[in-house]
Amino acid sequence: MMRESFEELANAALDGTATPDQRRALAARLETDARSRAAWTALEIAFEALARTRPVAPPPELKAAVMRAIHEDRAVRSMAPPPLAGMRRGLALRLASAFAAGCAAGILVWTLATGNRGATIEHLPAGGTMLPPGQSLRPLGHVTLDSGTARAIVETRGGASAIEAHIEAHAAGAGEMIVEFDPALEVQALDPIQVGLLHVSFAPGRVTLEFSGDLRCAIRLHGTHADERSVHVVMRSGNGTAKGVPKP
Amino acid sequence: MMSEDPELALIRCAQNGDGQAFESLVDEYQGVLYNLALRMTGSSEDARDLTQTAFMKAWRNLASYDPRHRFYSWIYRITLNESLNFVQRRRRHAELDERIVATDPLPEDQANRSELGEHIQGALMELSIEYRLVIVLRHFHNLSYQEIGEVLAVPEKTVRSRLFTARRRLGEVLRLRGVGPS
Repeated sequence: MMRESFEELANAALDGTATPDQRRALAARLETDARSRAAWTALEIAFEALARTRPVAPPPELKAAVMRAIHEDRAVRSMAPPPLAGMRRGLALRLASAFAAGCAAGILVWTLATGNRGATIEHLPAGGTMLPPGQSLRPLGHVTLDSGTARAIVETRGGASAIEAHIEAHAAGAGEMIVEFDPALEVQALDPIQVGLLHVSFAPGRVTLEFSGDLRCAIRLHGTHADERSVHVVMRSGNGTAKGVPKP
Repeated sequence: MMSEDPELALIRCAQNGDGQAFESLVDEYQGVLYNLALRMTGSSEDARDLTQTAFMKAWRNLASYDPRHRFYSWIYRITLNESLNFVQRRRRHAELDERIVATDPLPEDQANRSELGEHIQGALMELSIEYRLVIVLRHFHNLSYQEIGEVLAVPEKTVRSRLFTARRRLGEVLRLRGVGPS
């Protein structure tokens, strides 16, 4: 009770809203109570230090980076099919077209990430991983997400500078897998050979994969202390949303 | 006839895909949002990434923005959520990361810290998230007790009490770091 009273007096004094009576009561308390004096000294130190602190200018490249990401997002979205919810199942041609666009985007990401600009779709194997060879990665964890008839299994492997998420998912219709990760990690490569992948989008700390039916792909993330950083997965489908974190 | 609020006009243009209009909003708010993320994470690199993520989220969800509320409040909340999620995720893995931030800052961070003055950012990072948050909201973003209560969904009385403890602990940490009253 006594401490609450001191709190009120101190808050009022430091916020500049104390009445003359409150100021007198505070002065009397500080004169007679050593604990209140110690607390008051700490509060004064904090207030003075906070008052000296000035806003920090954002990095000059921040705005350009935001706008670049937005332009990329807009470009990727312009390649995307219309929302699947309103789409009739018979529109196979549109799906095929979107799938091809997704593959092209995936290949582009991979070639940009790896510097292997000679790759063309004819040269890509029909299966297996296209991730660039890296250090030996150890298994980190796995998680199974279930939501009605939709299911996803995600396995992570990692090392000091890279982490891979291997995804196998199935949804009766349209589905979405979201891989969220520590934004300190960057997408290094995305396996471009997928089944049912319609659209991929990237944002700092997130890759979103829209698919229909089956999905199989792998994502490699690069960064320091990669295997200590967090990865979350979210699956959305007509059955709802399931979330999880791969665990050993 | 009343003319439309210029910011709302920008938002409407951005909602229609006008990148230049959104760029004006980025210009307006990048400073305050970056500082919010910086105070919460203690790392300029993470703050930059989080600010960028927040703007991306805003861009993607502009259609769901309700113009009856301030755009600033909306995007501030997005950034705060991103920062809190990040700090909590990091804490799970994180004693190592915290030590890296605390003891091995990047050159850019060191420069920032000298501007922050007198170890204040380092001391903030020693506080728990809930205490750090009320200090940041009150002292760096000038939110009232009532506004902090709304952000945190706690009564104003709780805000006052939490802020009192947070300030006292911050002062104690600063004192241990050799910062004294003038």
